[in-house]
Amino acid sequence: MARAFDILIVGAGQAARRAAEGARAVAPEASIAIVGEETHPPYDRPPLSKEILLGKADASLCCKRDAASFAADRIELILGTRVAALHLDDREIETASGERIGYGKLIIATGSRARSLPAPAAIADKVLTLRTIDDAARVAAHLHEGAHIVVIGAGFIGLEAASAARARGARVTVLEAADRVLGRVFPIEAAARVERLHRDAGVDLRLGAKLDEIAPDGGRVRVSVGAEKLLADLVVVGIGIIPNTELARAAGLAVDDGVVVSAEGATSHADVFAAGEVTRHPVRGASAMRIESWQVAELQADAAGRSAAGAPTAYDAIPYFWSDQYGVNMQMFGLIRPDGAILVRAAGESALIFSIGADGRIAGAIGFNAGADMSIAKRMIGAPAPVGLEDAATPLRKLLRAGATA
Amino acid sequence: MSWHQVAQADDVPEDEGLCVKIDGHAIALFRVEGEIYAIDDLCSHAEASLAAGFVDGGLIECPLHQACFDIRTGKVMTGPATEDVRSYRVKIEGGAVLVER
Repeated sequence: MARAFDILIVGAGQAARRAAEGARAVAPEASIAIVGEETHPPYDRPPLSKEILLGKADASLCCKRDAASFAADRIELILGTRVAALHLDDREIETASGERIGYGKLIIATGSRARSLPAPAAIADKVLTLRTIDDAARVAAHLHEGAHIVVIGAGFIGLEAASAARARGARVTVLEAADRVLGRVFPIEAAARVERLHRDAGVDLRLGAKLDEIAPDGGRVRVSVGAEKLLADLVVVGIGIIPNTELARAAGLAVDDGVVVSAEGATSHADVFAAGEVTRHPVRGASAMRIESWQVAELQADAAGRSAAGAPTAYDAIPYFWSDQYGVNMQMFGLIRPDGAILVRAAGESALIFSIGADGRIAGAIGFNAGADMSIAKRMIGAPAPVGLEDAATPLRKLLRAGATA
Repeated sequence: MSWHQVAQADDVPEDEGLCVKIDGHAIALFRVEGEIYAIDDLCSHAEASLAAGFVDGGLIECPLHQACFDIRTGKVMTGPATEDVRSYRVKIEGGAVLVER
């Protein structure tokens, strides 16, 4: 007889932890287990590319709970165990070793994996992605004065790695194929600020750089870009992540980029929910989206966990994201509308960049060292953009109040 | 533990925090429904001053990553912080704010 749990969570990252906590909160008696390939208990990833690379903290900063804490909450951890298949008709999952584990409700929290670049075996330990605790430890070991770090991809992970590498005295070259950084996320007005931050910090930021080859070269890595050869002690590959949707797809669940879920985290099968950034979930003011963020792994997963445990709970948060580079705090709320207008409200090193939709309403806001104004901007999302929004001399709080009474 | 005079009650605004120091240790004062409360100024998640955050009723939102704390108790309400911040006893004497630490 296979072992079985009322709630079984596939995947062992932050979303799995949070889904388990959500389920536990509404179902004190339910048996709950997390099964996944990771060998560490579930942990949060934001510090990996920040405090851990900076050497300011060790991996424990990522761990909101240790194994004993999961045990105390009667959340069983089945780690180092790859799930090979979902048998929805039998209400069982099958592990790579052929064990079957039964469930009442299944939560898919398989997250994402880093997109990698093929590298010869001789330099495989010097061409690294940055996704796990072990990745972060390997990358951090290379960040020291005199080292040359080549970062491939100017997304958030690559840029945070660049920031940490500079802080630790390494020489840094960032190669980005597009003509700007953060192309998927930030409008050009915000991206240009980020580019300036990196160049001011001494990063050799190369836009429109087409990578030709990565090859061994006398114990180092030779990175070929056109006619130029860069010699690197470490190459950090930050070219995006791929949602781990294979299990869901093979089981016949609806998948569209991510595992398609309702606001409550329900998939196309009544016994199956999905949690975290593997999901494509409804987003306020948009069609459904797959969003790669701490917030989704935390709050959408909490809702999915509660829903799976019998207390339907909708996730409806305004999308939120943050990054910290060179001591500059960046935060983003809402969505950036490509068809709308951008409005910049800047004062010295502090700036708020608003995305205004075609309907004249504030769709999103990005802050650079914006402090408490970020909290105010969040409360303005969805409201008509007030007159004078770009005037940094008018306190944002005043505009918020004016909007509330209008 | 002893009482330290840190501010005048009138200096503590209604909708934002006031950062004060006791022996170099930063403490954030807030006013909620007329009452003054004191909690550690340093967010338990990152190097942020909670006094510089956004006050919403009895809650303070951290200016760096939106962690939210109960001003009256220091209890963390939403992440990314996971640990509470310390809260301190407060008394008002002759218009002055005293904090016990």
